Amino acid sequence: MEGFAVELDGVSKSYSNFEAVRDIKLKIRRGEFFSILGPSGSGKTTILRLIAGLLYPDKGSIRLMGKDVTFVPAYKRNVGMVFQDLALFPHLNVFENVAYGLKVRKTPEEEIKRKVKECLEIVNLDPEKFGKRKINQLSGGQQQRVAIARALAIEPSVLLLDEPLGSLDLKLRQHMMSELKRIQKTVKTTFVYVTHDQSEALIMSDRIAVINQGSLEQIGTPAEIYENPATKFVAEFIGEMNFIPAEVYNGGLISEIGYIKVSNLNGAKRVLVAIRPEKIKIGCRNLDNVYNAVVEEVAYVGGFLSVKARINDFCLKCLTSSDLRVEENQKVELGWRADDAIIFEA
Amino acid sequence: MRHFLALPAIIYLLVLFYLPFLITLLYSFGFPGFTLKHYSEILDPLYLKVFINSLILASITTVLCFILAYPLSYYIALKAGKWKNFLLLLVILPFWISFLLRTYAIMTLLTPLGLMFTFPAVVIGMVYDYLPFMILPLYASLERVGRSQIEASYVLGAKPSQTFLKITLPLSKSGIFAGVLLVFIPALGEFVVPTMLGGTYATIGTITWDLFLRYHNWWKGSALSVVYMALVLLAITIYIKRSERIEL
Repeated sequence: MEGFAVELDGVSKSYSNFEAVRDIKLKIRRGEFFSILGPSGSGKTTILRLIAGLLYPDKGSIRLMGKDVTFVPAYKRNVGMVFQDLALFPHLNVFENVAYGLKVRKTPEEEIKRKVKECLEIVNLDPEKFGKRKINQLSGGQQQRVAIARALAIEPSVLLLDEPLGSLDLKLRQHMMSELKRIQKTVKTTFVYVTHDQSEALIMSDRIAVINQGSLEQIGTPAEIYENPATKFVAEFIGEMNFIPAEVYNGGLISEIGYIKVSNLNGAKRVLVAIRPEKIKIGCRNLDNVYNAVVEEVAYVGGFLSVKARINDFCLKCLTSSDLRVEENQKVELGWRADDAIIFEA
Repeated sequence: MRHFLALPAIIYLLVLFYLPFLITLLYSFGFPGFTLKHYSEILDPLYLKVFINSLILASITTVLCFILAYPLSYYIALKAGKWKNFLLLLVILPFWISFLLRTYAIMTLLTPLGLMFTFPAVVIGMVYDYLPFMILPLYASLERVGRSQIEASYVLGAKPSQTFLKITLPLSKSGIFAGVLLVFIPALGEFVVPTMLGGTYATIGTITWDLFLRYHNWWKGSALSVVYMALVLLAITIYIKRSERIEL
Protein backbone atom coordinates (compact mmCIF):
# COMPACT_ATOMS: atom_id res chain seq x y z
CA MET A 1 0.00 0.00 0.00
CA GLU A 2 1.20 3.49 -0.79
CA GLY A 3 1.38 6.36 1.65
CA PHE A 4 1.97 6.69 5.34
CA ALA A 5 0.16 5.03 8.21
CA VAL A 6 1.28 7.59 10.78
CA GLU A 7 2.59 11.11 10.27
CA LEU A 8 3.72 13.35 13.11
CA ASP A 9 4.48 16.88 12.07
CA GLY A 10 6.30 19.08 14.57
CA VAL A 11 4.61 17.50 17.55
CA SER A 12 5.45 18.82 21.02
CA LYS A 13 3.95 17.89 24.37
CA SER A 14 4.73 19.34 27.78
CA TYR A 15 3.64 18.22 31.20
CA SER A 16 3.27 20.80 33.93
CA ASN A 17 6.99 21.36 34.35
CA PHE A 18 8.88 19.61 31.60
CA GLU A 19 8.79 19.08 27.88
CA ALA A 20 8.21 15.37 27.23
CA VAL A 21 8.60 15.52 23.44
CA ARG A 22 9.82 18.36 21.29
CA ASP A 23 9.18 19.02 17.61
CA ILE A 24 8.89 15.39 16.52
CA LYS A 25 8.64 14.75 12.78
CA LEU A 26 7.95 11.15 11.84
CA LYS A 27 6.52 9.41 8.81
CA ILE A 28 5.77 5.76 9.34
CA ARG A 29 5.07 3.79 6.16
CA ARG A 30 2.11 1.49 5.78
CA GLY A 31 2.89 -2.11 6.63
CA GLU A 32 6.20 -1.26 8.21
CA PHE A 33 7.63 -2.58 11.50
CA PHE A 34 8.75 0.69 13.03
CA SER A 35 10.50 0.99 16.38
CA ILE A 36 10.84 3.99 18.62
CA LEU A 37 13.98 3.41 20.64
CA GLY A 38 15.23 5.45 23.56
CA PRO A 39 16.27 5.29 27.20
CA SER A 40 13.56 5.43 29.86
CA GLY A 41 12.15 8.89 30.25
CA SER A 42 13.10 9.87 26.71
CA GLY A 43 9.49 10.52 25.71
CA LYS A 44 8.89 7.45 23.56
CA THR A 45 5.79 6.33 25.43
CA THR A 46 4.43 9.88 25.16
CA ILE A 47 4.76 9.63 21.37
CA LEU A 48 2.81 6.38 21.41
CA ARG A 49 0.09 7.87 23.58
CA LEU A 50 -0.15 10.85 21.25
CA ILE A 51 -0.67 8.49 18.30
CA ALA A 52 -3.28 6.53 20.27
CA GLY A 53 -5.18 9.68 21.22
CA LEU A 54 -4.67 9.20 24.94
CA LEU A 55 -2.86 12.53 24.88
CA TYR A 56 -3.27 15.57 22.67
CA PRO A 57 -0.21 17.53 21.51
CA ASP A 58 0.44 21.15 22.48
CA LYS A 59 1.87 21.86 19.04
CA GLY A 60 1.96 20.10 15.69
CA SER A 61 -0.39 17.69 13.98
CA ILE A 62 -0.94 13.95 13.77
CA ARG A 63 -2.26 12.08 10.75
CA LEU A 64 -3.40 8.48 10.62
CA MET A 65 -3.79 6.88 7.18
CA GLY A 66 -3.70 10.36 5.71
CA LYS A 67 -6.48 11.76 7.92
CA ASP A 68 -5.85 14.48 10.48
CA VAL A 69 -6.65 13.06 13.93
CA THR A 70 -4.73 15.53 16.08
CA PHE A 71 -7.64 16.11 18.47
CA VAL A 72 -9.78 13.05 17.72
CA PRO A 73 -10.40 11.06 20.95
CA ALA A 74 -8.86 7.60 21.31
CA TYR A 75 -12.16 5.75 20.90
CA LYS A 76 -12.69 7.17 17.42
CA ARG A 77 -9.20 6.48 16.04
CA ASN A 78 -9.29 2.75 15.41
CA VAL A 79 -5.74 2.06 16.51
CA GLY A 80 -4.64 -1.07 18.34
CA MET A 81 -2.50 -0.84 21.43
CA VAL A 82 -0.65 -3.41 23.48
CA PHE A 83 0.03 -1.81 26.85
CA GLN A 84 3.17 -2.27 28.88
CA ASP A 85 1.17 -3.94 31.67
CA LEU A 86 -1.09 -5.50 28.97
CA ALA A 87 -4.20 -4.01 30.64
CA LEU A 88 -6.28 -7.11 29.98
CA PHE A 89 -9.74 -7.11 31.54
CA PRO A 90 -9.57 -9.52 34.50
CA HIS A 91 -13.35 -9.87 34.79
CA LEU A 92 -13.71 -11.11 31.21
CA ASN A 93 -12.48 -14.39 29.76
CA VAL A 94 -10.12 -14.69 26.80
CA PHE A 95 -12.89 -14.72 24.20
CA GLU A 96 -14.62 -11.69 25.76
CA ASN A 97 -11.34 -9.78 25.98
CA VAL A 98 -10.63 -10.27 22.29
CA ALA A 99 -14.25 -9.61 21.37
CA TYR A 100 -14.43 -6.38 23.40
CA GLY A 101 -13.52 -3.95 20.63
CA LEU A 102 -15.95 -5.64 18.23
CA LYS A 103 -18.76 -5.72 20.82
CA VAL A 104 -18.58 -1.98 21.43
CA ARG A 105 -18.70 -1.51 17.66
CA LYS A 106 -21.95 -3.52 17.64
CA THR A 107 -20.50 -6.08 15.23
CA PRO A 108 -22.94 -8.96 14.55
CA GLU A 109 -22.47 -11.97 16.87
CA GLU A 110 -21.46 -14.38 14.08
CA GLU A 111 -18.87 -11.97 12.75
CA ILE A 112 -17.43 -11.52 16.26
CA LYS A 113 -17.08 -15.27 16.73
CA ARG A 114 -15.32 -15.67 13.41
CA LYS A 115 -13.02 -12.72 13.98
CA VAL A 116 -12.04 -13.71 17.55
CA LYS A 117 -11.25 -17.24 16.39
CA GLU A 118 -9.14 -15.89 13.55
CA CYS A 119 -7.20 -13.53 15.83
CA LEU A 120 -6.55 -16.16 18.48
CA GLU A 121 -5.25 -18.46 15.75
CA ILE A 122 -2.95 -15.73 14.43
CA VAL A 123 -1.32 -15.44 17.87
CA ASN A 124 -1.18 -19.24 18.19
CA LEU A 125 -3.74 -19.70 20.94
CA ASP A 126 -6.22 -22.53 20.42
CA PRO A 127 -9.66 -20.80 20.56
CA GLU A 128 -11.35 -24.01 21.77
CA LYS A 129 -8.89 -24.54 24.58
CA PHE A 130 -8.35 -20.96 25.73
CA GLY A 131 -11.51 -19.07 24.82
CA LYS A 132 -13.28 -19.72 28.13
CA ARG A 133 -10.21 -19.27 30.33
CA LYS A 134 -9.90 -16.44 32.79
CA ILE A 135 -6.99 -14.07 32.33
CA ASN A 136 -5.41 -15.08 35.64
CA GLN A 137 -5.34 -18.70 34.47
CA LEU A 138 -2.87 -17.84 31.71
CA SER A 139 0.91 -17.68 31.75
CA GLY A 140 2.72 -14.41 31.05
CA GLY A 141 3.38 -15.38 27.44
CA GLN A 142 -0.23 -16.40 26.86
CA GLN A 143 -1.48 -13.13 28.32
CA GLN A 144 0.81 -11.33 25.90
CA ARG A 145 -0.79 -13.21 23.01
CA VAL A 146 -4.30 -12.35 24.21
CA ALA A 147 -3.34 -8.67 24.42
CA ILE A 148 -2.06 -8.76 20.83
CA ALA A 149 -5.12 -10.65 19.59
CA ARG A 150 -7.42 -8.15 21.32
CA ALA A 151 -5.65 -5.23 19.66
CA LEU A 152 -5.70 -6.90 16.22
CA ALA A 153 -9.36 -7.91 16.37
CA ILE A 154 -10.58 -4.41 15.51
CA GLU A 155 -8.41 -4.41 12.36
CA PRO A 156 -6.54 -1.31 13.50
CA SER A 157 -4.93 1.08 11.05
CA VAL A 158 -1.79 0.80 13.17
CA LEU A 159 -0.77 -1.43 16.06
CA LEU A 160 1.07 0.34 18.88
CA LEU A 161 3.18 -1.76 21.23
CA ASP A 162 4.49 -0.21 24.43
CA GLU A 163 7.45 -2.30 25.62
CA PRO A 164 5.28 -5.40 25.66
CA LEU A 165 8.14 -7.82 26.28
CA GLY A 166 9.65 -6.06 29.26
CA SER A 167 8.23 -8.43 31.85
CA LEU A 168 9.25 -11.68 30.14
CA ASP A 169 12.41 -13.69 30.80
CA LEU A 170 15.13 -13.79 28.14
CA LYS A 171 14.16 -17.06 26.42
CA LEU A 172 10.48 -16.18 26.22
CA ARG A 173 11.36 -12.69 25.04
CA GLN A 174 13.44 -14.01 22.17
CA HIS A 175 10.63 -16.36 21.23
CA MET A 176 8.04 -13.57 21.36
CA MET A 177 10.27 -11.37 19.19
CA SER A 178 10.17 -13.84 16.35
CA GLU A 179 6.46 -14.39 17.02
CA LEU A 180 5.78 -10.65 16.71
CA LYS A 181 7.69 -10.57 13.45
CA ARG A 182 5.71 -13.54 12.16
CA ILE A 183 2.39 -12.00 13.24
CA GLN A 184 3.30 -8.74 11.55
CA LYS A 185 4.07 -10.56 8.30
CA THR A 186 0.75 -12.41 8.55
CA VAL A 187 -1.54 -9.46 9.23
CA LYS A 188 0.52 -6.87 7.28
CA THR A 189 -0.56 -4.15 9.74
CA THR A 190 1.77 -1.27 10.53
CA PHE A 191 3.50 -1.97 13.85
CA VAL A 192 4.89 0.86 15.97
CA TYR A 193 7.02 -0.68 18.66
CA VAL A 194 8.35 1.28 21.62
CA THR A 195 11.34 -0.12 23.47
CA HIS A 196 14.44 0.82 25.41
CA ASP A 197 16.06 -2.46 24.39
CA GLN A 198 18.27 -1.89 21.36
CA SER A 199 18.52 -5.59 20.50
CA GLU A 200 14.71 -5.87 20.25
CA ALA A 201 14.62 -2.86 17.96
CA LEU A 202 17.55 -3.98 15.79
CA ILE A 203 16.25 -7.53 15.34
CA MET A 204 12.61 -6.79 14.55
CA SER A 205 12.40 -3.41 12.88
CA ASP A 206 12.30 -2.28 9.29
CA ARG A 207 13.19 1.18 10.53
CA ILE A 208 14.06 2.70 13.89
CA ALA A 209 13.65 6.18 15.32
CA VAL A 210 16.09 6.92 18.13
CA ILE A 211 14.71 9.34 20.71
CA ASN A 212 16.64 11.13 23.42
CA GLN A 213 15.31 13.69 25.91
CA GLY A 214 12.17 14.21 23.87
CA SER A 215 13.91 14.86 20.58
CA LEU A 216 14.46 12.76 17.51
CA GLU A 217 18.12 11.82 17.08
CA GLN A 218 17.98 9.68 13.95
CA ILE A 219 15.65 7.64 11.78
CA GLY A 220 16.97 4.78 9.70
CA THR A 221 17.17 1.07 9.07
CA PRO A 222 18.86 -0.96 11.82
CA ALA A 223 22.01 -1.21 9.67
CA GLU A 224 22.09 2.54 8.98
CA ILE A 225 21.69 3.37 12.63
CA TYR A 226 24.33 0.91 13.69
CA GLU A 227 26.87 1.61 10.95
CA ASN A 228 26.32 5.35 10.54
CA PRO A 229 25.07 6.86 13.77
CA ALA A 230 24.15 10.47 13.14
CA THR A 231 24.92 11.72 16.63
CA LYS A 232 27.19 10.80 19.47
CA PHE A 233 24.13 9.77 21.50
CA VAL A 234 23.05 7.24 18.88
CA ALA A 235 26.59 5.89 18.59
CA GLU A 236 26.76 5.40 22.32
CA PHE A 237 23.23 4.12 22.85
CA ILE A 238 23.21 1.49 20.10
CA GLY A 239 25.78 -1.22 20.63
CA GLU A 240 29.19 -0.81 22.17
CA MET A 241 31.44 2.04 21.12
CA ASN A 242 34.93 3.33 21.92
CA PHE A 243 35.29 7.10 21.95
CA ILE A 244 38.78 8.57 21.60
CA PRO A 245 39.09 12.34 22.12
CA ALA A 246 41.45 13.85 19.56
CA GLU A 247 42.64 17.10 18.04
CA VAL A 248 43.08 17.87 14.38
CA TYR A 249 46.71 18.04 13.35
CA ASN A 250 48.12 18.12 9.86
CA GLY A 251 45.15 16.48 8.14
CA GLY A 252 45.14 13.75 10.75
CA LEU A 253 44.39 13.45 14.41
CA ILE A 254 46.51 13.53 17.53
CA SER A 255 45.21 11.72 20.59
CA GLU A 256 46.27 10.01 23.76
CA ILE A 257 46.99 6.80 21.86
CA GLY A 258 49.01 8.62 19.20
CA TYR A 259 48.36 9.65 15.64
CA ILE A 260 45.04 8.50 14.13
CA LYS A 261 44.49 8.35 10.43
CA VAL A 262 40.90 9.03 9.38
CA SER A 263 39.23 9.16 5.99
CA ASN A 264 37.26 12.39 6.31
CA LEU A 265 37.34 15.33 8.62
CA ASN A 266 34.46 17.72 8.92
CA GLY A 267 36.41 20.86 9.82
CA ALA A 268 36.05 20.67 13.58
CA LYS A 269 39.09 21.33 15.69
CA ARG A 270 38.40 18.94 18.53
CA VAL A 271 36.73 15.65 17.69
CA LEU A 272 35.73 12.26 19.06
CA VAL A 273 36.83 9.21 17.11
CA ALA A 274 34.24 6.48 17.50
CA ILE A 275 35.17 2.92 16.74
CA ARG A 276 33.12 -0.25 17.31
CA PRO A 277 34.83 -3.03 19.33
CA GLU A 278 34.36 -5.55 16.52
CA LYS A 279 36.10 -3.23 14.03
CA ILE A 280 39.32 -3.36 16.04
CA LYS A 281 41.48 -6.19 14.77
CA ILE A 282 44.03 -7.81 17.07
CA GLY A 283 47.28 -9.13 15.62
CA CYS A 284 46.78 -7.59 12.23
CA ARG A 285 49.29 -5.23 10.62
CA ASN A 286 48.07 -4.16 7.20
CA LEU A 287 45.63 -1.58 8.59
CA ASP A 288 45.56 2.24 8.42
CA ASN A 289 46.01 2.52 12.17
CA VAL A 290 48.16 0.07 14.12
CA TYR A 291 49.14 0.42 17.80
CA ASN A 292 51.05 -1.54 20.40
CA ALA A 293 48.78 -2.49 23.25
CA VAL A 294 48.70 -4.55 26.44
CA VAL A 295 45.78 -6.88 27.11
CA GLU A 296 44.13 -5.95 30.42
CA GLU A 297 41.13 -8.21 30.58
CA VAL A 298 39.75 -11.09 28.56
CA ALA A 299 36.16 -12.33 28.91
CA TYR A 300 34.66 -15.20 26.98
CA VAL A 301 31.22 -14.30 25.60
CA GLY A 302 30.03 -17.37 23.74
CA GLY A 303 31.98 -17.63 20.50
CA PHE A 304 33.61 -14.25 20.99
CA LEU A 305 36.23 -12.79 23.24
CA SER A 306 35.63 -9.41 24.78
CA VAL A 307 39.06 -7.92 25.22
CA LYS A 308 40.06 -4.77 27.05
CA ALA A 309 43.39 -3.50 25.74
CA ARG A 310 45.46 -0.54 26.92
CA ILE A 311 47.35 1.74 24.57
CA ASN A 312 49.51 4.02 26.73
CA ASP A 313 46.90 4.81 29.40
CA PHE A 314 43.87 4.63 27.16
CA CYS A 315 41.60 1.59 27.34
CA LEU A 316 39.82 0.20 24.28
CA LYS A 317 37.13 -2.48 24.14
CA CYS A 318 37.65 -5.04 21.37
CA LEU A 319 35.53 -7.94 20.25
CA THR A 320 37.27 -10.76 18.48
CA SER A 321 36.73 -14.37 17.49
CA SER A 322 37.47 -16.81 20.28
CA ASP A 323 39.76 -18.72 17.91
CA LEU A 324 42.33 -16.09 18.71
CA ARG A 325 44.55 -16.89 21.70
CA VAL A 326 45.04 -13.82 23.87
CA GLU A 327 45.88 -13.70 27.51
CA GLU A 328 45.99 -11.01 30.12
CA ASN A 329 49.16 -8.90 30.14
CA GLN A 330 50.05 -10.14 26.65
CA LYS A 331 51.55 -7.53 24.32
CA VAL A 332 49.61 -7.31 21.06
CA GLU A 333 49.34 -5.17 17.99
CA LEU A 334 45.87 -3.91 17.18
CA GLY A 335 44.33 -1.51 14.76
CA TRP A 336 41.52 -0.57 12.38
CA ARG A 337 40.83 0.74 8.93
CA ALA A 338 40.38 4.50 8.61
CA ASP A 339 36.95 3.93 7.02
CA ASP A 340 35.67 2.08 10.09
CA ALA A 341 35.99 5.04 12.43
CA ILE A 342 33.25 7.65 12.76
CA ILE A 343 34.11 11.23 13.65
CA PHE A 344 31.97 13.41 15.90
CA GLU A 345 32.54 16.97 16.92
CA ALA A 346 33.66 17.02 20.53
CA MET B 1 1.38 -23.76 70.13
CA ARG B 2 0.79 -22.13 66.77
CA HIS B 3 -2.67 -21.06 67.95
CA PHE B 4 -1.41 -18.71 70.63
CA LEU B 5 -1.29 -15.81 68.13
CA ALA B 6 -5.06 -15.89 67.90
CA LEU B 7 -5.66 -16.49 71.56
CA PRO B 8 -5.71 -12.98 73.08
CA ALA B 9 -8.34 -11.71 70.67
CA ILE B 10 -10.36 -14.90 70.89
CA ILE B 11 -10.46 -14.71 74.69
CA TYR B 12 -11.39 -11.04 74.48
CA LEU B 13 -14.28 -11.77 72.12
CA LEU B 14 -15.40 -14.83 74.08
CA VAL B 15 -15.58 -13.00 77.37
CA LEU B 16 -16.97 -9.73 76.10
CA PHE B 17 -19.17 -10.77 73.20
CA TYR B 18 -20.02 -14.46 72.86
CA LEU B 19 -20.56 -15.10 76.55
CA PRO B 20 -22.88 -12.08 76.90
CA PHE B 21 -24.62 -13.14 73.73
CA LEU B 22 -25.22 -16.57 75.26
CA ILE B 23 -26.75 -14.82 78.26
CA THR B 24 -28.94 -12.78 75.91
CA LEU B 25 -30.01 -16.01 74.23
CA LEU B 26 -30.91 -17.51 77.62
CA TYR B 27 -32.90 -14.42 78.59
CA SER B 28 -34.78 -14.49 75.30
CA PHE B 29 -36.11 -17.92 76.29
CA GLY B 30 -37.32 -16.58 79.62
CA PHE B 31 -34.35 -17.22 81.92
CA PRO B 32 -34.47 -18.53 84.66
CA GLY B 33 -37.50 -20.45 83.37
CA PHE B 34 -38.28 -21.44 79.81
CA THR B 35 -40.90 -19.88 77.55
CA LEU B 36 -41.36 -18.87 73.92
CA LYS B 37 -43.78 -16.09 74.71
CA HIS B 38 -41.22 -13.31 74.20
CA TYR B 39 -40.66 -14.51 70.67
CA SER B 40 -44.38 -14.73 69.95
CA GLU B 41 -44.75 -11.15 71.21
CA ILE B 42 -42.09 -10.02 68.77
CA LEU B 43 -44.24 -11.27 65.89
CA ASP B 44 -46.64 -8.45 66.71
CA PRO B 45 -47.29 -6.12 63.66
CA LEU B 46 -45.93 -3.28 65.77
CA TYR B 47 -42.48 -4.87 65.78
CA LEU B 48 -42.77 -5.78 62.11
CA LYS B 49 -43.27 -2.07 61.46
CA VAL B 50 -40.10 -1.34 63.44
CA PHE B 51 -38.16 -3.89 61.38
CA ILE B 52 -39.44 -2.33 58.17
CA ASN B 53 -38.56 1.15 59.47
CA SER B 54 -34.99 0.02 60.10
CA LEU B 55 -34.78 -1.67 56.72
CA ILE B 56 -35.99 1.48 54.94
CA LEU B 57 -33.60 3.72 56.85
CA ALA B 58 -30.61 1.42 56.29
CA SER B 59 -31.45 1.03 52.58
CA ILE B 60 -31.86 4.75 51.98
CA THR B 61 -28.64 5.44 53.87
CA THR B 62 -26.75 2.84 51.87
CA VAL B 63 -28.06 4.03 48.51
CA LEU B 64 -27.38 7.70 49.29
CA CYS B 65 -23.89 6.91 50.58
CA PHE B 66 -23.20 4.96 47.39
CA ILE B 67 -24.46 7.72 45.11
CA LEU B 68 -22.35 10.31 46.92
CA ALA B 69 -19.28 8.13 47.44
CA TYR B 70 -18.80 6.55 44.02
CA PRO B 71 -18.07 9.70 42.01
CA LEU B 72 -15.79 11.01 44.75
CA SER B 73 -13.92 7.71 45.07
CA TYR B 74 -13.59 7.59 41.29
CA TYR B 75 -12.22 11.09 41.28
CA ILE B 76 -9.74 10.46 44.09
CA ALA B 77 -8.53 7.14 42.66
CA LEU B 78 -8.25 8.08 39.00
CA LYS B 79 -8.33 11.83 38.50
CA ALA B 80 -6.92 13.59 41.54
CA GLY B 81 -3.23 13.04 40.74
CA LYS B 82 -1.06 14.69 43.35
CA TRP B 83 -4.08 15.73 45.44
CA LYS B 84 -4.98 12.09 46.09
CA ASN B 85 -3.50 11.74 49.57
CA PHE B 86 -4.79 15.12 50.68
CA LEU B 87 -8.34 14.26 49.59
CA LEU B 88 -8.13 10.90 51.34
CA LEU B 89 -7.07 12.72 54.47
CA LEU B 90 -10.14 14.96 54.19
CA VAL B 91 -12.31 11.86 53.96
CA ILE B 92 -10.74 10.26 57.01
CA LEU B 93 -10.57 13.46 59.04
CA PRO B 94 -14.13 13.25 60.48
CA PHE B 95 -13.14 9.91 62.05
CA TRP B 96 -10.86 11.82 64.38
CA ILE B 97 -13.89 13.33 66.02
CA SER B 98 -16.01 11.08 68.19
CA PHE B 99 -19.10 9.69 66.53
CA LEU B 100 -21.29 11.06 69.28
CA LEU B 101 -19.78 14.54 69.06
CA ARG B 102 -20.30 14.61 65.31
CA THR B 103 -23.95 13.73 65.79
CA TYR B 104 -24.34 16.48 68.38
CA ALA B 105 -22.63 18.85 65.97
CA ILE B 106 -25.08 18.09 63.20
CA MET B 107 -27.97 18.77 65.60
CA THR B 108 -26.84 22.39 65.80
CA LEU B 109 -26.79 22.51 62.02
CA LEU B 110 -30.22 20.94 61.59
CA THR B 111 -32.03 22.97 64.24
CA PRO B 112 -31.95 26.34 62.40
CA LEU B 113 -33.17 24.52 59.27
CA GLY B 114 -36.19 23.32 61.19
CA LEU B 115 -35.41 19.73 60.32
CA MET B 116 -34.88 18.34 63.77
CA PHE B 117 -36.90 15.25 64.74
CA THR B 118 -37.92 14.47 61.17
CA PHE B 119 -37.12 11.52 58.97
CA PRO B 120 -34.89 13.61 56.65
CA ALA B 121 -32.87 14.63 59.70
CA VAL B 122 -32.23 10.98 60.53
CA VAL B 123 -31.18 10.27 56.94
CA ILE B 124 -28.88 13.28 56.79
CA GLY B 125 -27.29 12.25 60.08
CA MET B 126 -26.88 8.63 58.98
CA VAL B 127 -25.25 9.54 55.66
CA TYR B 128 -23.03 12.02 57.48
CA ASP B 129 -21.75 9.32 59.81
CA TYR B 130 -21.48 6.44 57.38
CA LEU B 131 -20.17 8.09 54.20
CA PRO B 132 -16.46 7.38 54.87
CA PHE B 133 -17.23 3.66 55.28
CA MET B 134 -18.49 3.67 51.70
CA ILE B 135 -15.78 5.90 50.25
CA LEU B 136 -12.76 3.98 51.52
CA PRO B 137 -13.52 0.50 50.11
CA LEU B 138 -14.74 2.03 46.84
CA TYR B 139 -11.56 4.05 46.58
CA ALA B 140 -9.42 0.98 47.27
CA SER B 141 -11.11 -1.03 44.52
CA LEU B 142 -11.06 1.80 41.96
CA GLU B 143 -7.43 2.41 42.74
CA ARG B 144 -6.72 -1.17 41.68
CA VAL B 145 -8.64 -0.81 38.41
CA GLY B 146 -5.81 1.41 37.28
CA ARG B 147 -5.79 3.78 34.40
CA SER B 148 -4.48 1.42 31.76
CA GLN B 149 -7.56 -0.83 31.64
CA ILE B 150 -9.72 2.23 31.17
CA GLU B 151 -7.40 3.52 28.46
CA ALA B 152 -7.32 0.11 26.80
CA SER B 153 -11.09 0.28 26.60
CA TYR B 154 -10.98 3.73 24.95
CA VAL B 155 -8.39 2.62 22.41
CA LEU B 156 -10.54 -0.41 21.59
CA GLY B 157 -13.30 2.00 20.62
CA ALA B 158 -15.47 2.20 23.75
CA LYS B 159 -16.89 5.62 24.55
CA PRO B 160 -16.36 6.88 28.12
CA SER B 161 -19.91 5.83 29.09
CA GLN B 162 -19.44 2.33 27.65
CA THR B 163 -16.07 2.07 29.36
CA PHE B 164 -17.60 2.95 32.69
CA LEU B 165 -20.40 0.39 32.41
CA LYS B 166 -18.33 -2.44 30.97
CA ILE B 167 -14.96 -1.98 32.69
CA THR B 168 -14.81 0.44 35.61
CA LEU B 169 -18.05 -0.53 37.33
CA PRO B 170 -17.57 -4.33 37.11
CA LEU B 171 -13.95 -4.02 38.23
CA SER B 172 -14.92 -2.01 41.30
CA LYS B 173 -17.50 -4.61 42.32
CA SER B 174 -15.49 -5.84 45.29
CA GLY B 175 -15.40 -2.29 46.67
CA ILE B 176 -19.14 -1.86 46.16
CA PHE B 177 -19.70 -5.15 47.94
CA ALA B 178 -17.54 -4.19 50.92
CA GLY B 179 -18.91 -0.65 51.10
CA VAL B 180 -22.52 -1.82 51.08
CA LEU B 181 -21.84 -4.33 53.85
CA LEU B 182 -19.94 -1.80 55.95
CA VAL B 183 -22.74 0.74 55.72
CA PHE B 184 -25.89 -1.36 55.60
CA ILE B 185 -25.27 -3.63 58.57
CA PRO B 186 -24.39 -1.03 61.19
CA ALA B 187 -27.06 1.26 59.75
CA LEU B 188 -29.66 -1.44 60.29
CA GLY B 189 -28.91 -1.65 64.01
CA GLU B 190 -28.16 2.05 64.49
CA PHE B 191 -29.87 3.68 67.43
CA VAL B 192 -27.87 6.79 68.34
CA VAL B 193 -28.72 8.81 65.24
CA PRO B 194 -32.46 7.96 65.14
CA THR B 195 -32.72 8.64 68.89
CA MET B 196 -30.92 11.97 68.78
CA LEU B 197 -32.21 13.33 65.51
CA GLY B 198 -35.40 11.41 64.84
CA GLY B 199 -37.43 11.76 68.00
CA THR B 200 -40.15 9.20 67.53
CA TYR B 201 -38.77 7.39 64.48
CA ALA B 202 -38.57 3.86 65.90
CA THR B 203 -35.93 1.45 64.65
CA ILE B 204 -34.75 -1.90 65.95
CA GLY B 205 -31.95 -0.07 67.70
CA THR B 206 -34.13 2.45 69.50
CA ILE B 207 -36.73 -0.17 70.49
CA THR B 208 -34.06 -2.52 71.84
CA TRP B 209 -32.64 0.36 73.84
CA ASP B 210 -36.09 1.19 75.20
CA LEU B 211 -36.86 -2.41 76.11
CA PHE B 212 -33.63 -2.88 78.00
CA LEU B 213 -33.09 0.48 79.59
CA ARG B 214 -36.45 2.15 79.85
CA TYR B 215 -38.83 -0.75 80.50
CA HIS B 216 -36.19 -3.10 81.95
CA ASN B 217 -37.76 -5.91 79.97
CA TRP B 218 -34.57 -7.87 79.41
CA TRP B 219 -36.43 -10.93 78.16
CA LYS B 220 -38.27 -9.23 75.36
CA GLY B 221 -35.23 -7.07 74.53
CA SER B 222 -33.14 -10.22 74.28
CA ALA B 223 -35.66 -11.90 72.02
CA LEU B 224 -35.67 -8.86 69.75
CA SER B 225 -31.86 -8.83 69.64
CA VAL B 226 -31.71 -12.51 68.76
CA VAL B 227 -34.26 -12.14 65.96
CA TYR B 228 -32.36 -9.13 64.67
CA MET B 229 -29.06 -11.04 64.71
CA ALA B 230 -30.65 -13.95 62.88
CA LEU B 231 -32.10 -11.67 60.20
CA VAL B 232 -28.78 -9.87 59.62
CA LEU B 233 -26.98 -13.19 59.41
CA LEU B 234 -29.50 -14.42 56.88
CA ALA B 235 -29.32 -11.21 54.84
CA ILE B 236 -25.50 -11.27 54.74
CA THR B 237 -25.43 -14.93 53.77
CA ILE B 238 -27.79 -14.33 50.87
CA TYR B 239 -25.85 -11.24 49.83
CA ILE B 240 -22.48 -13.00 49.88
CA LYS B 241 -23.85 -16.02 48.02
CA ARG B 242 -25.32 -13.81 45.30
CA SER B 243 -22.17 -11.72 44.99
CA GLU B 244 -20.07 -14.85 44.62
CA ARG B 245 -22.23 -15.89 41.73
CA ILE B 246 -21.72 -12.57 39.93
CA GLU B 247 -18.01 -13.02 40.65
CA LEU B 248 -15.83 -10.35 42.10
